[in-house]
Amino acid sequence: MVDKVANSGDIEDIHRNDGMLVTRFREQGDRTAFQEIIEKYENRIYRFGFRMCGHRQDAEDVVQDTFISAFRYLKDFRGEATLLSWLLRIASSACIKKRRLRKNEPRQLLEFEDSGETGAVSTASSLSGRPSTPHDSVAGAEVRELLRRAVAAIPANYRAVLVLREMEGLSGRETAEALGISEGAVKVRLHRARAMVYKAFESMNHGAHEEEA
Amino acid sequence: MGRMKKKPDTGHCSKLLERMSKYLDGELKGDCCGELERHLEECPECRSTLDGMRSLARLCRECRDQELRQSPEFEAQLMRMLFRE
Repeated sequence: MVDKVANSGDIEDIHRNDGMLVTRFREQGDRTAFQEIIEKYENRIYRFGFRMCGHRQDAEDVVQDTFISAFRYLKDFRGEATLLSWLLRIASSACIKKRRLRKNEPRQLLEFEDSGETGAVSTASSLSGRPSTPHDSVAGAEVRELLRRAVAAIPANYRAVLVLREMEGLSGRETAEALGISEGAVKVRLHRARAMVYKAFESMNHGAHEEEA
Repeated sequence: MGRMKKKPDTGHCSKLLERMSKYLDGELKGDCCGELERHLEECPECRSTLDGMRSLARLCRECRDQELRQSPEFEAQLMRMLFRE
């Protein structure tokens, strides 16, 4: 995977290199600099968009909207946040617009289009860490599917924090910059998001078990 | 510990789950931390829930390695859209 999460020691170098790309594009009109920015970050934006919207097409729309805005407004980028945080902030707004457009659709359309198994996972694979069963070997994908559905079920402002901090590995500061909130608010939302996802996961898992019974 | 009633996992109150989340991140300090640890020693259901919260955090982190790719033609389309003459 090209877009591995950076170690803290690399962050200053990334920030410096991004600054050079921004300068090349802004001051010299160098389009290849903007292309490099796209190549560097499009997958990070796509992953965020997909986890937020749950649709591949929506995620691509989010990437497209993000870079069209970035192309237009990069002149206003001051470097106070990292370039990735700045792009994610644009992407976050694009995701909210997507959700609003889809709010009248049935609930399941807000969940992941590549959903696989939706039945109950084996008890060994539920989050409570109960004893193993022979079903464990096939349960991993089901657990991930349940996790995706549970994450999709929580409010977007909490989901965004969970996705950026836990699933994309951004620091508290980067997450705060990307969402335009304080680092303290990131912590509060993260704990609340985990609690909500845990409850949603367990509820979905128990519900699936009851349907099977 | 009156606030930590024994209930099925889905019945745990959100505040307790949030406190467990803080505990896992080392953010629960002083009396709150001691109170939770004492309760965990005597409550198997809450220990199980804490394990579940830990598993949830691990599952989320494992998503970082998940392959999620835009369609192969997408980047070319985006470049054409941005740089069309």
